[in-house]
Amino acid sequence: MGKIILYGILLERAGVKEIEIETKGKKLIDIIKKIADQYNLKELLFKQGKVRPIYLIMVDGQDYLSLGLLNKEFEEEKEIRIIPVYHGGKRRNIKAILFAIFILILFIAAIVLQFIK
Amino acid sequence: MIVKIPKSLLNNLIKLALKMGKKEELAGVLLGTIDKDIINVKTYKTLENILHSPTRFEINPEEFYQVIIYGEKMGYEIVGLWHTHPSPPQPSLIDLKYMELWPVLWLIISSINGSYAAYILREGELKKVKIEKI
Repeated sequence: MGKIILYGILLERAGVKEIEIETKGKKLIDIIKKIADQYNLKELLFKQGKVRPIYLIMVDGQDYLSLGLLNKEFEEEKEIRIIPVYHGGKRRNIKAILFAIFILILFIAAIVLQFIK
Repeated sequence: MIVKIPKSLLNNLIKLALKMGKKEELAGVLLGTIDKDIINVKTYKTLENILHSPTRFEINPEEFYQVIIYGEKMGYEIVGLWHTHPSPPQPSLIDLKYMELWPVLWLIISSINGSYAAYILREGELKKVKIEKI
C-alpha cells in the first residue's frame, strides 16, 4: 500500500497526516482527486479543475507538479507528500506610500501652476 | 497556547536578523514537538530565500522538502516558521496569505532592532502567541 502525507492547511483540514492509498497502476492526478473528495480538500487543492500551483507534490524527492508529471501512472506503491509552499514578505509601509503620493501631487500641482501663469 | 523556545535559539535568530539587516529577508523553520497547547521549539533551520530580496521571500522548495524529511527523522515536526522583516515584527498582507497555507506558529523578527513577535492564523483569526524563553 502506498500513502499520502499531508502538511499545513491540508493536514489541518483533513484531520489526518497520513492516508493509506493504493498507488500502483494509478495516475497521481486521480489519487489526488480521490483524497480531495474523501477529505473535503477539493477547494484547497483545485482551481478550475487544475491543481493549484501553491503546493509541492513530492514523490521520490521530486516535485511532480512542477515537472508536469501528474498524469504519470505509478508502477509501484509510492509515498506522496503534499506540502504547501512557504513564501512571505514585509509589511507595506502605508505612511511612506501616502507621503510619496502627497509629494507627487505637489509636484504635479507646481507644474500645472507654471503653465497657468 | 504557549510557545517554549530556548533562549540561545531565539538569541541566535535575533543575531542573524540584525547581521543581515535590510540586505535580504531571512526565513526558515522551527522544528519541535507539540504537547496539547504547548509548542516546544527544539531547533531551527535557515533556508535559502531564492528571491534574495530585502522585502520578499520565497523558500527554496528543495531545501524546504529536505528539512521536513530531516525533522521527521529526528522525531520533530514543523511547529513554526520564522522570518525577518526590515520593519516592526508584524505580519504583512503577503504573510497573511501564506499563514493560511501554514496554520502554525509564525515568528517574525525585526532586522532593524531585533524585536520579535509570534502569531498564528486559524480559521481566519490572527492571534498573537506568548513566547516563553527557557
